[in-house]
Amino acid sequence: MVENATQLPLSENLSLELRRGALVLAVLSQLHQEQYGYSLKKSLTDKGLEIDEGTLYPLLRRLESQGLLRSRWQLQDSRPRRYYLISPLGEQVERELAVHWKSLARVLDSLLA
Amino acid sequence: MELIDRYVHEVGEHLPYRLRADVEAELRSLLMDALEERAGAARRPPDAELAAAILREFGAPQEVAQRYAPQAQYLIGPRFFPAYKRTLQILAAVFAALLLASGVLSILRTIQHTGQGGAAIPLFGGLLGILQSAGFNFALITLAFAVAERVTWHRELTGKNWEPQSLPAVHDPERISPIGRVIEVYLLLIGAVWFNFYPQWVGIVAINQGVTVIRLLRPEFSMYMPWLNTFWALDFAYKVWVLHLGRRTRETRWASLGLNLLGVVILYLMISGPVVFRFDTLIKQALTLFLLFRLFACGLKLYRILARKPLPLWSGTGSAQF
Repeated sequence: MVENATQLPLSENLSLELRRGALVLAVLSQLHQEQYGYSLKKSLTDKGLEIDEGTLYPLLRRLESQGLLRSRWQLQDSRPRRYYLISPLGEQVERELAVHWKSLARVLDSLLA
Repeated sequence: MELIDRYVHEVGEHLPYRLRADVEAELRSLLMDALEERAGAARRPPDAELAAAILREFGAPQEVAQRYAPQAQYLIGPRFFPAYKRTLQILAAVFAALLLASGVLSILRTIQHTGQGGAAIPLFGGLLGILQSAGFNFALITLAFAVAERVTWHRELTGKNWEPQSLPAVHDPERISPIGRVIEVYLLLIGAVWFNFYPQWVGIVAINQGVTVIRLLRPEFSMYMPWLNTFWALDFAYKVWVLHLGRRTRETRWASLGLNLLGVVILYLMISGPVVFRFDTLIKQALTLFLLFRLFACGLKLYRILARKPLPLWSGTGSAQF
């Protein structure tokens, strides 16, 4: 019992760590069209990637500060919303990350087979 | 939107100033989107219950703020830094003026003295004292702000079990100004250090053939130091406690009243006790006036405690408006 209790948080932590790196690629891939925070979250959830708001929204700002995204405020339905779009640098980084991801996935698939 | 406003305001309080307005606007917009979506799915109008559920999912305000500004490991964080900077600027201006005045005074006196055939008056002795004092004050101010930073950071709004209803109102009349409290802590530290380690400097500054301090405390005054130190220690603990809570409560008002009464007792002991001051009668008359003023303040505090009704917002029954 004790072993299970200690192993569960460890496995959760490792899963989170595994996901963390992949989230950047997932977010970049979904921003070839302008999206605001909540619509992006929905879009990722609809495609099977659950991500909590507390992680996603600060991540968007970080990617913007790194020059991978651009953003602008727009008034929609009488509410201001911040829309994000991938930048040329973001597209380049996305392509490179995608290559790494696919290569890593192939290796891991063969290791786990 | 009050609960969301309170949440956004609380997050903003923990963000660097340059990020604050932008993050607050975005966060408000995101929360409203989430609320609209949730209300639509539940087929009911948005209400405080739905808002609270969404806020719980977003996370405790301080943790959300840390995600937006992950480098936020400060000695003095964004909430206090502008006030800290402003205080240091004032301190620097005061000491610069003192340095200038002391320098000019020394030069004038040197000119006058040497004109009468005397030796030059050393210029740097006075300046060094002022610089030492500036350094000492800088350290005390930093200490006071650092204490405030540490005790207010974990103010019950962290962790998984935080409760949105416990968020302070944006314009809560009971909410204290942390900056004011920090300044009080600083003044308290200054007073305690002054009386304990430099009693010879407690006096009247006289500028006559040089700057001298007419000492007001006789050595016998030390008999009151245990009382005063107890009072200052309790006052320090009280101020840190209020800073930690972030607002006044009925309990803090009672504690404040108790402290004031202790102060009155110490004053009474000094007034009715043996001669401990240089101008004993005059000072004791002034202390008597001060004691009467403190007694009046205690009466006022007691009236406010007894007359005050608790705010419904803080009753914990979920009565906070959305």
